[in-house]
Formats: sequence, structure tokens, C-alpha cells
Amino acid sequence: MAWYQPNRLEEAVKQAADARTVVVCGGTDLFVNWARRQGTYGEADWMSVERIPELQTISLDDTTGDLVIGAAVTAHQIASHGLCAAVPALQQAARVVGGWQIQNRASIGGNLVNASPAADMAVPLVAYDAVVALQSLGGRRRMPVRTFLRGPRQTALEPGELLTEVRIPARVLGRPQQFLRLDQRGGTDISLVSAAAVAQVDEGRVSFAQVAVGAANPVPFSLPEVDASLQGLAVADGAALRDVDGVVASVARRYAEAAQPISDVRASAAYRTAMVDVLVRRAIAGTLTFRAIAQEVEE
Amino acid sequence: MGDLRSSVQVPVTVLVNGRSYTVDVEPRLLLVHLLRDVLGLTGTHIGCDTSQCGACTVLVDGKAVKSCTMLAVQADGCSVTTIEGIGSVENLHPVQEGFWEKHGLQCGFCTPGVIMAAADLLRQHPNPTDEEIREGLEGVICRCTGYQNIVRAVRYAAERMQSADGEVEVAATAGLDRGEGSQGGATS
Repeated sequence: MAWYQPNRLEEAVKQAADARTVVVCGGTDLFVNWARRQGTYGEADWMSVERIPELQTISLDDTTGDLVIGAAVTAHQIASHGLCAAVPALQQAARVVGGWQIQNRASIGGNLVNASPAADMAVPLVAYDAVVALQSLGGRRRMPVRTFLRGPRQTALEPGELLTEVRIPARVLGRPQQFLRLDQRGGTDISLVSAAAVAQVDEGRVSFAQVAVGAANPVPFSLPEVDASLQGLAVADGAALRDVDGVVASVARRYAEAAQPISDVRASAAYRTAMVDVLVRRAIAGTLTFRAIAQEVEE
Repeated sequence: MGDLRSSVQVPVTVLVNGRSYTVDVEPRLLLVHLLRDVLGLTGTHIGCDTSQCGACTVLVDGKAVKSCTMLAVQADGCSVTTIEGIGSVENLHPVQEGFWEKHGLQCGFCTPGVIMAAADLLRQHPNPTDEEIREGLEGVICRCTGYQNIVRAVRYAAERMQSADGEVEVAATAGLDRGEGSQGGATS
């Protein structure tokens, strides 16, 4: 095993082109049970990207207004950085990536490249319709997080490519949003089901709403055609509560119908499916801060 | 495993508890093994080896990390603080004193990691609520205490550190009566 820890992105891209290179950042997932896995990883060359300055920045794109987060930015930095106050749902997700010690090491890029179905930060990123940048010797390309994630531990990353940044579109920054996670033991557990919603209400009507659900499918998923049914919904005081309840409940039910969760030691598939319904309703209700729905959902 | 011993050696320089060490290590060596097996600092414990229990928590550049999930080579050039470096028998760290006063332990196995996690917690939240203490200690597992006395110990440490800060400030600015000037109790 060889070890590389470049300080420059060009060096890292060059090293990544070597097929023996395994890329790591914080290593909080890859190095668990290292002793047991060394037979598998022992022959690989490892490269850490955590000290590359370009991957450590959080900034606003001057022209588009997008929030750009470097791949090596840690969960702790996201939870505490001033610019990330515009993406509170992502901050809520960052705060439950393991305990504090893990949040100090785990990176947003690693959370995506790892492609765990239960990844926390990936869920609001899918709801935001965030985009990743992938760089290799051949150049740079971008794709939405929702297509980058292909399946459990599977991504669209080609050999030799590095995930360099996550770009959150300006249109969701500062908008009402929420991330919710169901787990048994708090931060050191992984989620049973999670959901994120981002929405905007203008003049008493929903002008924008996007939802995503985690840990209920091979990858976090969203249903844009279902989210569209929230468009134009009247939610101001005096709106017909039954109508709002009905639409939100119908959106949640369709997410639950689309979920194909697994049964494992943490929960049964049937329970997870039922909880998709509950979390989606709560996430939308919480995001619209529509008290009547929130109370009903709490029961 | 013998055939893997041919792996390359990488020089690593770490400042551990204020003392600089440069050692050649295999890249796969975990930070906790560097501390325990190479440097002989066995106060940092290995509990689960799966990054759950937090007994191996140390501070790397001031931040709490689980040293069983970090390679020694990833700490190259960093400052590491272990339980051996946070205080001394003559001069306990306020968190250590809190564990003593409030009996924040029974078997003591998890204690080094809990103390290091609490030190990072208090760095970020000098006056935490009980809820913040519990959230900050989510990454450590204690099988004995039920956590009640650990929370009391951390609260005690926070009050000690607050009152110490108050005393220093008061002494430095106006030379007022120190007993009156200390701002010990949590206000929440």
C-alpha cells in the first residue's frame, strides 16, 4: 500500500488516473474495521484529498448565486458555517452524520461517493436538485446528485474521476426547508427513513416545492411530478384545511407507494414504508409551517 | 498477514501532547495504534474498533475525532491531544475534576474518550444546556453510568471554566473582589 496526500488538485487528478488509486477523504466509513479489511485494501494505493485547498471552500458563485461546497468540507463545517445558514435542511442532516467526532472528519463528497442508501446529507441535496462536479484528466463535467447516485455503493463516477464540489442552486437558498430523520439511537445510528422538503409560499400559495426521501430505496429519491401537485396550493390563513391536508397526504402517500425499502435488523420494510408517509407529511407541513397540518401530523 | 509487511513506510510528524515525534509508519496504521503501540500512550482506549463507542476519542488540531477511524498518516503535521496531555494529577483539567467530583464513571474504560469529547464540546459551547451536553456526547457510549453523572460532570466543568474565565477577566480589568466577580452558575 502506498499513500498519497497531495496539496494540489492537479496532482490529485493525475494520481487518480492510476487505476490502483483508492480515493479517501475523512475515512470515517472506509476505515471502519480497517483491521479486518486490510486483506482487501492492502494492495491498493491510497490517496487522501482532504488537504486540497480547492476542495475545502464554501462560497457563493458570483454569477449564478449558487452555494458551492468543496468535496472535502466536513459535516461539522457545514453545520457551523455562516453561508450554510441558507441551507438549514443540509445543516440538520450534517448534524446527524454520526456523533461529533465523525462530523469533524466526514466530508460531503465522501457522503455522496460512498453512496449509502441511508446517507443523510444526500437527501436534502436531492431535494435541492444539487449538482456535483466531477474532474479527471479528460476535463470536468457536472450532473445532478439524483443521477450521480446509482445504487447502493454505486455512483456515476468513472475511473480516474474525482468529485470536487457540490453546487446548491440559488433558487433554494434561504427558502423554507426541513430535514427529518427517524432513527433508534440518535447520531451514532443510521437512519431508518429520512425526508427533506424545500418550499416557498408567495401570496398565500405554494410557488415551489421539492421533496426527497432517504433510506427507503437503493438511492435517495424524489418524485418531481408528485411535487408538482403542491404547486399553487393555497395555504394562507383561511384556506380550506381539508384541501391542504388532502393534497399533502396524497403527496406523502405517493412517496410511500414509490418506496421500496429493505427489511433489516433496524426495521421492517412495511414499517419503513409507513414512516415514509409520516415523514414526508411532516417535512412538507414543517416547511410550509402550516400549523393545522403540523398538529394533525403530530397525533 | 506476513506478506503485507512489505508495505511502504511513510514518515509522519505529529505533535502529541506538546511533544514532537517523527516516526516511519505503514500507511494503514491507525492513529490509535500509533498512540498506543508506537508512542506508548495507552490512556486512549480501543472499545469497539467500529467507530461507534468513542473510547478512542482524541483531539486532532483541537477537534474531537475517533482515532480508530483515522490513519496515523492523516494526522501528519497535526497537533494531537490525548487524555495524558489534557491535565496532570496535580492540575486536573476541569472536565477531569468534574468526573472526580460528580463520579462520572464506574469502570472507567470509556472515560478517556468521554473526557476528550467533552473538552471539544466545552470549547464550542462553553455554557451548554443539559440537552447540548447530551447531544455533544452522542458519539460516546458508556455501559455503566447511564450518563446521568457524566452530564453532571460536564456541567460542573462548564461552571468551573466559566468562573475561572470570570475571575481572570475581573482580575485583569479592574482588580475587583474576585469572590463577588465570579460568574459561576449556569443561567439557563
